[in-house]
Amino acid sequence: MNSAALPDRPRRRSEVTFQPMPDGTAVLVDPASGAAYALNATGALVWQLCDGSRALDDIAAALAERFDVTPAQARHDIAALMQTLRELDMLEPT
Amino acid sequence: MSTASASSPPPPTAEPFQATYRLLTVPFQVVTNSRDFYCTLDRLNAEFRSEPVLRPAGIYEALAYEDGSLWELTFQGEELKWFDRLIDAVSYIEWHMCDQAIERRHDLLHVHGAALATPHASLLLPGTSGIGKTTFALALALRGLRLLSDDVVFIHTDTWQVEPFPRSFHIHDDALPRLVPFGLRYSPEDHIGAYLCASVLGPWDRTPGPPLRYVLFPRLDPSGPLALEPISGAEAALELMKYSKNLRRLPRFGLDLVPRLLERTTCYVLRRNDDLGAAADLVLDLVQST
Repeated sequence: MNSAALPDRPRRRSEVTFQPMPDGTAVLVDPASGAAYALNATGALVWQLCDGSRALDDIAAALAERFDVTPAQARHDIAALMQTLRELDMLEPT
Repeated sequence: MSTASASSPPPPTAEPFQATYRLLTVPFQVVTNSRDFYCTLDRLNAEFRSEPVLRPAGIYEALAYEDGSLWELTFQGEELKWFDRLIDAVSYIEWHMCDQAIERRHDLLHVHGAALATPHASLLLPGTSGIGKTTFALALALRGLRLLSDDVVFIHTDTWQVEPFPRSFHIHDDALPRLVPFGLRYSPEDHIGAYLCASVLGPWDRTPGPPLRYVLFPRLDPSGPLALEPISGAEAALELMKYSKNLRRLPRFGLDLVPRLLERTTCYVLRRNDDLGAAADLVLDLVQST
């Protein structure tokens, strides 16, 4: 995965519906298409942190602290998720 | 179903047969000139039979032509459909009435599936037709759970109780022998076309079931293992959106409701195979432990 192609400070699309669930997972719904997607707890946290103000490294640090993983693993997980979110058109264009 | 149109005027009107049915508290009146139609529909809809009301929500007419070889169905005075078989005409009215009642009760959450209950907890089994849902629900009912609804489940979203809906069971003929070992007993009169009358389980308790406590999403693999697998909240939410007829019509696609339901229920994927008894035992062990 080419993380250099990812946005520096990713911003989620504001019109996408985000609903957290009691177990920390969450659902995203694109209101334009009605398509719905499940996020695991990691993805739910990353989504909430994608407000356009945080660099990818900051998001990775938050992930590493919350889920007790290495920064390298966190960066890997974020890169994979960012790629998917971009393919699903869930992020603001950079 | 086959359809046709009449070429001759309607027969002289004898004293019509009338009946009132109340589905989800919505009253409908059915008027027909045919004793056969009246009796057949009444057996199929026996659990919904009601006293006549002054203003039914809808009036159906079922007119027999040419000695019962042709049927004209109307709803609110407008032509619905024509049939050349009694059972098709009866089945259509039964389906249309259910659909009309359901459309008037969007205050309830609708989920395709079945619901059953112990004295303390209700269980929801979301799923579409064709995966053996009705057969499994009947097996559980014959093993002692109270069947609340099959095909569509109606849920009060303030209390999470399930509204009983004693509709006759749409079940394949080859499924019926599988239920005999569970104690299913029925007479030929209970088996009308593709339906098994709801009364085969005895009189229905009309009180809402206890609040939902379990949601099991069935997956049928005839030769696969039997298992209950945990499912995440998000995945359960997606499944409910898939199987609910009206969740997405709510603001925010009904997603505000789902966490409230998940907070009070335990959700699993139920992997089932052809062993109906083993699957029933697994579910009974789960729900009766409450």
